[in-house]
Amino acid sequence: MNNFDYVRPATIPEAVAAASEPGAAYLAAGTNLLDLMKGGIAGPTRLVDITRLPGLDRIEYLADGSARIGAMVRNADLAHDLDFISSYPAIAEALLSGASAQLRNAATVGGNLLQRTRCSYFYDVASACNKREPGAGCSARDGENRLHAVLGWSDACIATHPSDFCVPLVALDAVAEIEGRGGRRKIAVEELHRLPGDSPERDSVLEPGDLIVALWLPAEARSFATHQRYLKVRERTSYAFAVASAAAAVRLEGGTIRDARLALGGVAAKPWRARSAERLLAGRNPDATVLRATAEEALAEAKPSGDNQFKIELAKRIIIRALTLAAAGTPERLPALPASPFSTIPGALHGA
Amino acid sequence: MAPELTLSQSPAHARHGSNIGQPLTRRDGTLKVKGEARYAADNHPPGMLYAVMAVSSIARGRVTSLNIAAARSHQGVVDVMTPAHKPPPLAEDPDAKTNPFMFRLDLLQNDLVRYANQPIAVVIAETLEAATEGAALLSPQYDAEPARVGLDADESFVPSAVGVGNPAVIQRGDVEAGLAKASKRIDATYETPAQYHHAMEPHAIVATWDGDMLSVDTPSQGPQPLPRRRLWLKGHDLRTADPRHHGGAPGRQAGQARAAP
Repeated sequence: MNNFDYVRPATIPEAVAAASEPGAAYLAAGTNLLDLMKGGIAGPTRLVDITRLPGLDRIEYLADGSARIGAMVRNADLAHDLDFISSYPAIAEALLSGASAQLRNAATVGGNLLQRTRCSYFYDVASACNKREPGAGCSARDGENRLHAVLGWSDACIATHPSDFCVPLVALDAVAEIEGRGGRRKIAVEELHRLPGDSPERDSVLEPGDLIVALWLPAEARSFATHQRYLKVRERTSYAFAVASAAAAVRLEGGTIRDARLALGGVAAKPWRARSAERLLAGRNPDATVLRATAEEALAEAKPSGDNQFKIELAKRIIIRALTLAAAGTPERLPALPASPFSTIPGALHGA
Repeated sequence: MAPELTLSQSPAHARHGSNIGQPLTRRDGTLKVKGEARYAADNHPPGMLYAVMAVSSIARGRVTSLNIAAARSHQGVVDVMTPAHKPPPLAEDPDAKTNPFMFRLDLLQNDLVRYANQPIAVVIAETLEAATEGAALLSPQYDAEPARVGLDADESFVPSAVGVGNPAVIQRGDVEAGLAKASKRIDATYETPAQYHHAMEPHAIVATWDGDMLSVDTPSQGPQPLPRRRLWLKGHDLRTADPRHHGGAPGRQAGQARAAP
């Protein structure tokens, strides 16, 4: 039995001090952490409950065009905020494509960023897992690995990051605001998560005690509001993680792309920003040839880590479709099946 | 109060005399909709203990040791049942297949492991938490053997009969010759994952002794043949709950005994 301590600090500095001790973990909604504890995958000796800390649950739109979202804002509250939907529709769509309504009602922004992989070998304590237990080996390499990484993986770990929310955040240069033992600092979400290398036990660059207090969207992100989408291919249309997903956003002049943003989900241990592919689009008309070349560039370094060669081509096609739909314009209303790639007419048919 | 049976005569509902397609009220429908239906697991007789199965983390082999002392010494744990508890002889051999719809049962009759998550011990305790913790404290050790999975993993097992006395192997004609002559040949592999029914009511058993009478409340489609022959209950009376309430569902056939050891 894992006997753990439970503390509920009243201020952020108290929380950081309590969570800086070895074996401590922050508890917000617990929609990931509690599962991990019940399954014996995580065994923190102290839970630091941050749900009553003041000032972490606001969505603020600043005069300079940026937005600051408190880390305790619930996924559902953010996805249904009308101002948020109109400024960052692909992020709202990504949020609504993830989990279930009950989970979205409880889960927090901070928790979504830091959720752990759903690799089934990470979850099976009878299997070897270097992320759970450094040096133990990786049962996924010789196991059921259709859904594992094709980019950025290492021999130590082939797990993927499961978040949908993080993918458009990375595409739009979101920044995490963190309070730690040394005070406050900011880290680009693109830099927050780590690739496994030979230390897959560390999911992120965060240090002990580091608390995500807010998420920033820079002013420039708004300029993509009219042409952005998030698409997610998965084995069923609801309550399933991405096999591959893409967040695409473009700024158009006439029919030409002035600027593009592209990030992939389900392909690596972190959302994969495809900057070199974005550069291929600048100044071009997004025709089939251009889009195909863009997709090829985005997956140029991709390698199967197991029985998942198919995922590379799948990811290319989801990029093409996401860019096509982004270029066609953000739908007036969020689709009733958020992020479904199977709508035949962009933005029409059904609304949420 | 038994609900009225008013069969709709509309063409959309006529089904050649059967009730399929008819808007009927289930006997327990109102109770279930109101959340007042009592499922087996809702029964908590006074002094009820909880039994939690410890399951194997290997798929094939044998259990070589269980830390029974550690489980027993946990507060609230009353007993730990293992193959050592089986009183010889069982009324029937659980490995014998006495009717064609049976499955082999795992009733702690030996220390063999035949599949992942097979029950290998049962911890009985005053609370569910203590029983769960006791099961974890058993820390089983195993001699693991390579699992045999897949249709081509090993020699085929050919039973003496299938179904109700039908031959296991039937051969007609010459398939290879037919394939060779065919104008079109399709060679493909189709896979489907294991599929599970999820009835609303969880599997549960509540067993209560009243003197010599054992009452067993459990969702089962066919309670009668279920436990008497398998349990070493000769000379005891056995009463099972009214099956009308629990209803039928796949996974509740009489042959799948969920008899507590």
